[in-house]
Amino acid sequence: MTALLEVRDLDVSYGHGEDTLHAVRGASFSLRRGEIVGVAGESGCGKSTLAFAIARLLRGSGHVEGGEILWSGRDREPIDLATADDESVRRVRWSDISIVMQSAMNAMNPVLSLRSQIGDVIKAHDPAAGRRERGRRVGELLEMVGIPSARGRAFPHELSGGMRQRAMIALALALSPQLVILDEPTTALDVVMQRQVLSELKRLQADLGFAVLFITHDLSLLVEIADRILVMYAGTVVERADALDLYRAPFHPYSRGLLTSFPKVTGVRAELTGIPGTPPDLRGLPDGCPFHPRCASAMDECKRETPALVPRRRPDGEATPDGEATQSRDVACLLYQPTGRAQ
Amino acid sequence: MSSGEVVLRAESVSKTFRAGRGFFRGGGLHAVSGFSLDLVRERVVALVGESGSGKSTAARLLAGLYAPTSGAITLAGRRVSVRAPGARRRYASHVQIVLQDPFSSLNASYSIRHHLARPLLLHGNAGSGKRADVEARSAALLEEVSLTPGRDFLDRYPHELSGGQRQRVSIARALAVRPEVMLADEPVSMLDVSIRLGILRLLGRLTAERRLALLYITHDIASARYFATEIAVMYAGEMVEYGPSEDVTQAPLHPYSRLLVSTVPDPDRAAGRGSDTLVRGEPPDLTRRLAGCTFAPRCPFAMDRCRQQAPPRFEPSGGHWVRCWLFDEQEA
Repeated sequence: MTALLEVRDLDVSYGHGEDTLHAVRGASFSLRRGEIVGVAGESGCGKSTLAFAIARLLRGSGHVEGGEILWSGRDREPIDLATADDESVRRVRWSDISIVMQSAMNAMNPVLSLRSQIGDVIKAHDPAAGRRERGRRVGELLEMVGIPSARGRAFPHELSGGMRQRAMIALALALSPQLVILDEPTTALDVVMQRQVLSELKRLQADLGFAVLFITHDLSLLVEIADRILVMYAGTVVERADALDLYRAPFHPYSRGLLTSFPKVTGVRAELTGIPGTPPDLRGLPDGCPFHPRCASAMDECKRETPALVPRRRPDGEATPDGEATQSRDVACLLYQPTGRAQ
Repeated sequence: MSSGEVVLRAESVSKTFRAGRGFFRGGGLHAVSGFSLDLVRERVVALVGESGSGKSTAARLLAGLYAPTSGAITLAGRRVSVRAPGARRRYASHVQIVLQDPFSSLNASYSIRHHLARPLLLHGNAGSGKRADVEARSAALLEEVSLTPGRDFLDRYPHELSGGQRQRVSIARALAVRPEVMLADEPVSMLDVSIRLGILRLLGRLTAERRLALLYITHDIASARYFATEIAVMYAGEMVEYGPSEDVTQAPLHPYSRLLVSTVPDPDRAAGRGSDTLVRGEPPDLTRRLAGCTFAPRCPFAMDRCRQQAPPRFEPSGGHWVRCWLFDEQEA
């Protein structure tokens, strides 16, 4: 099946010259129709920058330095969002790719009712729709995310956090996009509300069939919701695997660290090990593998050699036939590479 | 409740916010009702509930930031009143609060040195009060929260630190007054998952080393399981369940506690994806008093009785109680 979105060797930087900060370095992944791909990592790992680059919403001095973002939307020729002109991007944005930001409070216009904010989006992208038609679609969208359509008259401050986040999702779905990017959509919510919003999302995704790029620092949540997961560290993808494979047998020591950082409410009260140290400063990355100063399995080579993201063996130890391996498991760690001692 | 030296005790404390006109139109908002809790030296109690459950109001009552509408708070057996002049500061030297957001709880225009020197001097813990002495003590506090070497952090400003480091500074600042009680209001919920563990471990270590009585407030019952000895579950301003943390998380009694446990992301459940026990509804409207149980409108087990009569405490097993009619032995 062809990919809906194909990101190849993407480099994104902020600033120029000596002050350049390389926020994303050589990120590659693909996303198929109807698939949920999760991106996990700590603050500053480049996961939000990756999302903004795809939606062409990089702020200030942010720019794509290299690589491709190939988008194969409905009945359109594939376009490279990294280089396409603004008008082509405008056509794709929202109607093909929409984004839900972390803070629903700040993402909405405080002086407009829900109804008029959602109506505006429809008006801008589908000028042919009349007033009545718009009103009907706004009502449908709100009902779809579990907000009574009468609440459309409400202003953002009159809604609870969970309601606002659901209204954001309605806004994102207004033009039936094929890809919805969710940047920490539930981080500002408490666990009960988070569960409700996630269930709502999964139901909508199953009904409408859009693909999702789900960005969060909470890997435990991704394992539940995503089909595949990318783990990012210091701007690079360090592991790419099926969600359950990653959970059952994380390969990269960083993935393992993330998975042992959160307490579980059921089962044995296992010891939490976590990850020592703090996320790296992107302006002063160490030589070699960027994770080596925090890694318990670091070897001498790790200080010199930067590992590439390459296909690795399955958890059961059997090598997979070529091709399949690239879909199931890739890891950027010398422990799993021919020069490493694990081999 | 539990053995050990009770440092801070709340007895049937209630807080009603009155906002005469406008929002609440006279009735008042019953943020906390009949709240009783003992904080014991060298023990961690977790207060768990969703937004609007009253857990933060309870913390602010205990911290003396709000005066209770009714009920009493006693510190080492003596009734607390923070209204008299100077009483607030005297109380703060025993009871400290660490807030959720380390980005707004530190003053952006002052260095870390200022944040630590001020409580040291105000509460008379600065030794001679000379600059070198204050500096040495400030640096020691930073090292105590694992910001090493401490002196390197003194002249930095909050914006130069990461979220986790800022939260450590907030904790060091609380320690500067040598408190007996520390109230941590969602201390890790703004931080990355990978950073949370370090902060919780630090609080655990300080509880033992400083012989603190610690209240850990969170919406994440899974972290409470790991970190606290006892868990109190709050709903709509009332405590609905209390017991040893392993009992409350592994065999929750109250339907609301069961809901909280079931909403925690759990990859082990992912195998049976889509089997969500979805509870609808929003947190309750605290401006209205219900005749019966406050959870009844959202409860899948609600009976007629629940809507008419508020349930008392039932204690099916020792030290673990619940406010729910399902556990009325006489009925069964």
